[in-house]
Amino acid sequence: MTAPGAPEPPPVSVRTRIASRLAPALALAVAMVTLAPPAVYFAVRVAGIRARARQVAARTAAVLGKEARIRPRLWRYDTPKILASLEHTRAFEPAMAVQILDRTGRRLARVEPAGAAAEPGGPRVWARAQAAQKVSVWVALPAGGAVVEALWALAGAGALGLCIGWWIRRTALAEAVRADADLAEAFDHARAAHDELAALAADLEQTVARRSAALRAALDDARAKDARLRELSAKATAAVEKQRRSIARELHDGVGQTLTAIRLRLEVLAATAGTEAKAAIASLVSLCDEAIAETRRAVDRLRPPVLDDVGLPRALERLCADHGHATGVTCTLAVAPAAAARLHDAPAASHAIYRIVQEGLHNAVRHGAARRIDVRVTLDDTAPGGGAVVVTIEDDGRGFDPEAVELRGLAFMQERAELLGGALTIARPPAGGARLRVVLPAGERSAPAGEDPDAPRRDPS
Amino acid sequence: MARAAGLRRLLGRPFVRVAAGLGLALAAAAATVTASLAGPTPPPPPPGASVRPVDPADDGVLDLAGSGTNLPGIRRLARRFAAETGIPVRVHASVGSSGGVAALLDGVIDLALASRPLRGGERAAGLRAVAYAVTPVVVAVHTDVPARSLDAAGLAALLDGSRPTWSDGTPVVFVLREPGDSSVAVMTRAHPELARAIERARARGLHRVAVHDADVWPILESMPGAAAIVAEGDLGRHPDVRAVPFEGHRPTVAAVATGRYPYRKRLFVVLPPRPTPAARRFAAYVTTPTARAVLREEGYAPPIPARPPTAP
Repeated sequence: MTAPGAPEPPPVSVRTRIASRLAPALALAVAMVTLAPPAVYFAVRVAGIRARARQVAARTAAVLGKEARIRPRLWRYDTPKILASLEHTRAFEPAMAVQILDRTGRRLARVEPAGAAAEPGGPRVWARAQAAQKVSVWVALPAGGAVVEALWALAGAGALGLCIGWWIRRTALAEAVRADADLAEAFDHARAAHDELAALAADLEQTVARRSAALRAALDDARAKDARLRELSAKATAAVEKQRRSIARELHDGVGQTLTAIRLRLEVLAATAGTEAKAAIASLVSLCDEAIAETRRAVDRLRPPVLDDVGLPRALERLCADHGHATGVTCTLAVAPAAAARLHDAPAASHAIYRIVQEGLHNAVRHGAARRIDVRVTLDDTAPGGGAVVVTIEDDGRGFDPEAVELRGLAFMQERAELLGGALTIARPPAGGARLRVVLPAGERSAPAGEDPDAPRRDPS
Repeated sequence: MARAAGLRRLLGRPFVRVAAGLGLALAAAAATVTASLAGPTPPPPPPGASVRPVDPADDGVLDLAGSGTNLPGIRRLARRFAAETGIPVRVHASVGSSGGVAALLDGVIDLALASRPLRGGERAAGLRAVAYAVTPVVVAVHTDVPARSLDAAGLAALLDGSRPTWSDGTPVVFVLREPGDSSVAVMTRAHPELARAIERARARGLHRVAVHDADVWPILESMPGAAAIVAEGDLGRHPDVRAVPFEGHRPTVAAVATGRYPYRKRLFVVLPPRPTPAARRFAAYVTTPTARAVLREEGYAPPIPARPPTAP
């Protein structure tokens, strides 16, 4: 930490840092290379010297043992002679010192190196062997030669260690400096790459922002167009429905009433007419009946009058009842009051639901051989856009694969739902049969699609 | 905590780490050297080392020990002495003149047998030597050795290895005694070149070394080409060994007794400062005519005045 205001310390070079860090390890390595070989050499040499001394001691002890067997009491007085004789065997070395001690520690015989073999003050390596009657034989050899050799080895190993240390330091520092240069170069490359990446990233962000704004605008435009399309579709559907209701009303109230009036006049006329005329009038009455029936069918195809007469719930009840009566299938109907209230002023939606239920019942019997059909009309308040009316037609038949079976009725149902902004799905429940599910928007946006405020109210009665 | 942090800071300094590394290496090397040199050493002599190391056998037997040259004659004298006086005598195996004297000084034996005169220190200790016989020192060889006589130069050649075989090609096997042996000393005093030859032989480890005369005889008997410098005392008991005339002198008792054979050594019975009566009687006995007659039969001559041998 540099105190505020204090001058920054000069930067430390990598070479200096590495040299500083390397110094302890190098010192230890040089010291080990310098000291270990001479120390080991000395230890081995001393072990060899001790082994030789031990060999001579054991041999001397063996000779003493033999003497002790021959001269049980006085052999100790013969030890100087024994030692003198051993002194001139090949195993004996001039530099060897020997002491023979009895069990009390009294020295029975002793040989000390003399002349050139004597090494005053030098270290000695002693070895001991036990002879008979607890007499111990001590043999010593000088280790001064080993010391000198170890010192020479120390000098050689020291020089070698210094050379190795110098070489390691030189190599390590050179490699460190080279690595530092490589790192600096790599760092420069990395910095340039980083700057380039930063510029690219900035450009990319701007591009992404531009594209995102364009996409958002396109999406808003698409949504507006979709909303407009839905609005137009709803208006078109409402207009169509209004037109259909108008035509149906004209047919019913105009053509139908006129035909009915003609028929009544013809019946009055027939009461007063002759025989031939009656036959002709009967023929005309029959034609009037056919025209009235045809008019009614046309009115029904344009818009079932029952919708305007009794409302969707009652109309669906009649539809189910008639279908069950005609086919022998058990039909149940459940219309949620909230759904009925929401559909009360939505003639287009009511008409679509009526036709969808009508087609669904027909398909269940014709293609699914169903024996029971359940129809439910519910209101889903959680659906987006102010809620949705959900119509479910579920049967216990064998079901059908809408992909495999081409059904025009299904296409009509889907078309009706989509015209009102809804959707139709077909599923096969695990228990069997088929389940049709139609979801129609029931919110504020969908209201205009089905609502016709200008449409005249038919009196259900 | 503060102390530990200070220690860490201290160890973090390069100089301290270098010093620590060098110290560790030096300590390891010093430990190796010390461990290699470590080991038991002879204990110092205990106080009171003058205590008698061996208890004398206090069984009424006269104990004699010393130089092996004396033993053949002394053993026979001891039997005779015991028969005549009723005093039992025990003659121990050879321990050398110095060994016998040392045992006598320790009081372990009653009389010592020496094949050399007493030294100054021994005389100062109150010992007294009684000369009782003279025996020739000879060059003894295996009977198969073809040499009929030897001179000092020839013997030196045999000793230092310059003449490795006998005339028939048999390798020379010379058996030497330990340095200071009295028989060899007799020869080397007369012929110093023999001492130099022996020194060269010992330096080269040429010859076998025997501790006692008793160890020499079996080698001389069993090994063709064997030779040794020994006292003649026991020669008669070894038929496969013979003495070679040296420098023209034949080693006979008569020649020794008359002084014609110069290579001889005197034999002594050594008495302690306070000899037992039995010891005193035996020391007197060995110089009696009876004893000399016995000794003559064993190849010993009567004692003659001391005279250093000289080369003829």
